[in-house]
Amino acid sequence: MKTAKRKLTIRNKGIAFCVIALAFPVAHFLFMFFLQNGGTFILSFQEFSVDSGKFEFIGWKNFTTIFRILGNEYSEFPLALRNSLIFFLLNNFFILPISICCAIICYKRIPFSNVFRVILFLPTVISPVVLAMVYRFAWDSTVGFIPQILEQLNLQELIPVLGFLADKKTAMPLLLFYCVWIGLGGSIILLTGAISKIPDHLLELDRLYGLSFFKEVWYVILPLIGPTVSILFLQGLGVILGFYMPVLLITGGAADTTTYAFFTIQLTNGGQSNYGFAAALSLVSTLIMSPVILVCRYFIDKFFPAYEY
Amino acid sequence: MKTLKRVIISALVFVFATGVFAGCKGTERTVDERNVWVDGNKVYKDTYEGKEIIKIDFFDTGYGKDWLYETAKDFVYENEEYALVLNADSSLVSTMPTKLETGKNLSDLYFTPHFDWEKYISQDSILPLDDVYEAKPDGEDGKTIEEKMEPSYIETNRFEQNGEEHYYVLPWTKLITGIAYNSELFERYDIEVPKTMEEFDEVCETIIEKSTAEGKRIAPFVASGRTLGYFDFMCMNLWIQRSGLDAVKEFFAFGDVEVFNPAKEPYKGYVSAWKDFAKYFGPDGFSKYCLSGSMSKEVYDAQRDLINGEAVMMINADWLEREMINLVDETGFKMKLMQFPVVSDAKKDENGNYISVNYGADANFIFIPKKASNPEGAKEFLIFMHKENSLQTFTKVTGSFRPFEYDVESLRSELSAFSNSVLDISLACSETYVDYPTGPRRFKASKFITGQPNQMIINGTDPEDFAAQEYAEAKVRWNSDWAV
Repeated sequence: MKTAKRKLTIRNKGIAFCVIALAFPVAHFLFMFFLQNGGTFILSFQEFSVDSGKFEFIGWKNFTTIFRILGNEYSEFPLALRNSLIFFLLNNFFILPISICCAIICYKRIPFSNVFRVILFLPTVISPVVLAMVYRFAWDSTVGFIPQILEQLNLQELIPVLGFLADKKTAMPLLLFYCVWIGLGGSIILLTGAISKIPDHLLELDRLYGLSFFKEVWYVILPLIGPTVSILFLQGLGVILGFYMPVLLITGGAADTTTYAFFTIQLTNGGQSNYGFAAALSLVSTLIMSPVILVCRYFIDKFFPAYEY
Repeated sequence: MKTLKRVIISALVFVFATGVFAGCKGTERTVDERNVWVDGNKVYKDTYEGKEIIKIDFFDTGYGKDWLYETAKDFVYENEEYALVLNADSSLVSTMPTKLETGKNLSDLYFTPHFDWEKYISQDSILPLDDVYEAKPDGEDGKTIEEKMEPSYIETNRFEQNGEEHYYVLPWTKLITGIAYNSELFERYDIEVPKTMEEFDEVCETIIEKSTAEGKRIAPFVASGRTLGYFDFMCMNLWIQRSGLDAVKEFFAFGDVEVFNPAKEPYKGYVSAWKDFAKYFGPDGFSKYCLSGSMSKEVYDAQRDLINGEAVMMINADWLEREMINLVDETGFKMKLMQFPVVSDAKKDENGNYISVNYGADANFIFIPKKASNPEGAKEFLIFMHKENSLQTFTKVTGSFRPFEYDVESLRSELSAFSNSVLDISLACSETYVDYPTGPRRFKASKFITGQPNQMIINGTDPEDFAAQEYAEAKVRWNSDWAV
């Protein structure tokens, strides 16, 4: 009897442990998924009324507005979408490949690899706000060192009269350059970690087989760091909907540099007026992006299967 | 080698640690001869314990915080039962709406920059201040706060809800806009402050000629293109001069889409103002009259360039000197604020004089949240703030003014040359126009209040083309997302 009681207690303790351990994640899921997304769903059919002080149902108006402004020449929305796509392409098809190359350089201890490592890692340990400020000052026509160098070289005509970060010809390229500069460090840390996990005996075997450096990279290293690359690629998809910080800090969205996320933030800046529209926009974006991400995931898994080693 | 590494790492750890601890500074405590204490952000007489607390959140830029501390000290001296807690917050614009919407963590009194406070009335989040407006801060023989307030500000503080109209906010400062200029350089170049646009043209040419002759060409203007609103000071002022105040108010009532028609008043006057503005800041004028790179500059950067002598003038307002006081003191820079020059076809009043209106931009506000824990104490402080002495304290400390009737002339000797020039503008203007859109589309069409000149400059758009685009856009949106 005593043993049965004891067993029951242990069983109960196990159940209690499971309940307590799962309570927070389940509550978090219920809150974040159902309550928050449910709220967004309801809000997308509403508009704030100044007269009643409440959100009122307005049917599909927020959704029709999205499709109307998509084709509206006066709206910044199409431009914001275009720029977001540019930043995505830059991140996934330029920064990511370069990061892979740099990670391999760092791993292979090619001459000056430690210098590269410091130069590339430095931006990741400095606050992004400070970094953006430093970058902005560097291009300032009065105190910036880059315009001063151009003046010393008698290249004043290259300095735009409105300023580098307000001129349409230079603002976007400089923002892209900034993203490359700060974007490399983070990816390299992850990729170097992945490469260093490759067992030494595999690489030694490559040498015994007489594989060249490029063949070793293509046939051995790349497939083995595939899961990390695929995660970085999928993370990069988030840039389409979530990229705004450098825009906010460096150009303030001026000179045609606004992005989707920056546009959404601007919408909700003035209080509740546009919450409904922003919610509708989020809902439509989720509907579009969810299948895109799933399809990408499918193809990436095909291209970079996970190897056990 | 290992020892060297250890030494370097230890040195770095020491430097970082001392840096961290250097930041941990105890709260500052001061006491004056009246035994009024300033203990960190608390202000009280004798002791803090047992006092009725009034919490104040205020927007900490431009005017600084000293004026509020001075007023708080005077208040607790006269009202010993109170202690004040003053929270300076430069991100008030973003934090306050959430607090108001949720009713949590609210202070008793808020000093904010411009925000759409009317939206919170319908949510019953802001306390009516009719009794404060009726109070007589200078005693029974004195005027009420409503009577002391400048008439142009009255209508911006009332709101009608469910057939009842109340006062909900008080204006905090009177924005006086104009062109800040390097007065020492004006004197050296023997330049008179221009009154008309023609004279203004000559001034710009003189600056370029004389500075070039001296060996370093100085740009007449520096601008803060990244900060919206400053260009509007000039454009709005020129528009009011051309079309008159009633026409501008008609535009901001958004009664009909035709108010955007550039071929008709009131918008026609706005387009003319943009054309005058474009002469200096448009595609042709910018490189000649403006410091290179101005459109990439934040307002602090542009103000720094003005004070460092990179340019001679900047469109600005009364807070400039206070905002840059450290650099002004350090460099000994001398500046003044001039009124915007008069355009040749400006409207005239019944006496044949050109109308002279100060464009006060968007007003900033003081309000008490409905769920404040000590609304009565907050009202007491508000009434105290409008006593003659308190109003003067604001001016003495900040060098700026409040839109109320009080003796400012007697303060002239205590004010800087810049503040005196601001006062001259204030007195020369018959009234102040504060951005106050009205009508049912007021919140929908509000994009038409600031930033258009910035867009025009960055896009290199001609004012007439820009106006035509705005009209076309208004027509598209009038019955869609602007519909009521």
